[in-house]
Amino acid sequence: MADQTPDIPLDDEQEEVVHHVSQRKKRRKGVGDEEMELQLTSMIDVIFQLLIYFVITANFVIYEGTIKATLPGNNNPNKIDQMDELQMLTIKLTSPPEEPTYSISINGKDIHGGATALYAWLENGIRTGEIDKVEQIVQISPDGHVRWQHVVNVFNACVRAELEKIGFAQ
Amino acid sequence: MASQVTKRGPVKPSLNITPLIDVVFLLIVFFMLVQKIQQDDMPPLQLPDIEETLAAEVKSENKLVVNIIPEAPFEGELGPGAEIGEVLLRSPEAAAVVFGQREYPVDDADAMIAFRENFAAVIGERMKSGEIVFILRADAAIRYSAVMPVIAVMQGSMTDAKLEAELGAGTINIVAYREDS
Repeated sequence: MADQTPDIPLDDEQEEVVHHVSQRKKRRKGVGDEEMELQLTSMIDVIFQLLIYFVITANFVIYEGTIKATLPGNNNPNKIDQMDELQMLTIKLTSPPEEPTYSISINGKDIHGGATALYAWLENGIRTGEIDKVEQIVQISPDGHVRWQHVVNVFNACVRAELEKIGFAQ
Repeated sequence: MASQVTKRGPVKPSLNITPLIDVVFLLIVFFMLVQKIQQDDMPPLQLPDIEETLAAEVKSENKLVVNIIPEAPFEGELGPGAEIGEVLLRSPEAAAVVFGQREYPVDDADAMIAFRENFAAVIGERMKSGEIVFILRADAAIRYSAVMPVIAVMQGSMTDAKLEAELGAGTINIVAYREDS
């Protein structure tokens, strides 16, 4: 009888001292079957593309809005004729050259406090019945030096007061 | 795609679609961006920033945007919330009118005539696509004397094109920062 060595369990290291298994052996014995693995490369590619897309398009999300201005013209109902001029509310904006400040006057009367005060004045006029929101023609007449910021601010105050016939002087 | 037959049987055919998807995504991104840029046609400007503004988003596919760019661009971060004093410290002069990705210097009379002609021509083309929304974007620091001639051109072109009768009136949308911004 051949000598029998007792069944001593081998260490893990001793059991798996296999440096290379040929492809043929692998296929024959099923050694080293393919492990399940998640292919991340393509996913990362796509995620990067999406990321780049959203980063770039985010620049276009501008917090802009518009205020609708129905301006007097030749055919539209807001056309200002000579008769209207008598009833017209002229909001004059003046600004010293090269100065960013401005002042407001309505039909020659000074309004102190900028567009906020103008809005309050218009609101008061509407409440007391002096100004008809629908019929009253308002002409914003800035001098050439007034900054666009102020013109839009005053225009916005008129729109807020729900005046419907607002025009800009040329 | 025909499968190869080897001694151990046919090799499974497979189509590697990863690079295909990559390229398709690139093309989609490219065309979306190009289309977006073409549609928006908006150079960066520091717009009027107003308290309690009624400015609201306009959703229309048929927009005509006219921009007035300043001689001295705002050097701070563009957008709402900038100090008004700083915004208005700049030169009030306008540099050019930008329309349809083309610049028309405001101090060049020929250029302004070209702008008027081009604007009227574009209105004529766009009228076929339905109602046109006219949008005026001007930098907050620009003085009114530079803006008024542009408004006059816009109004004049609308009248010439008999748009007033069709659209109801000469309506121009003035751009400012929105309240929720």
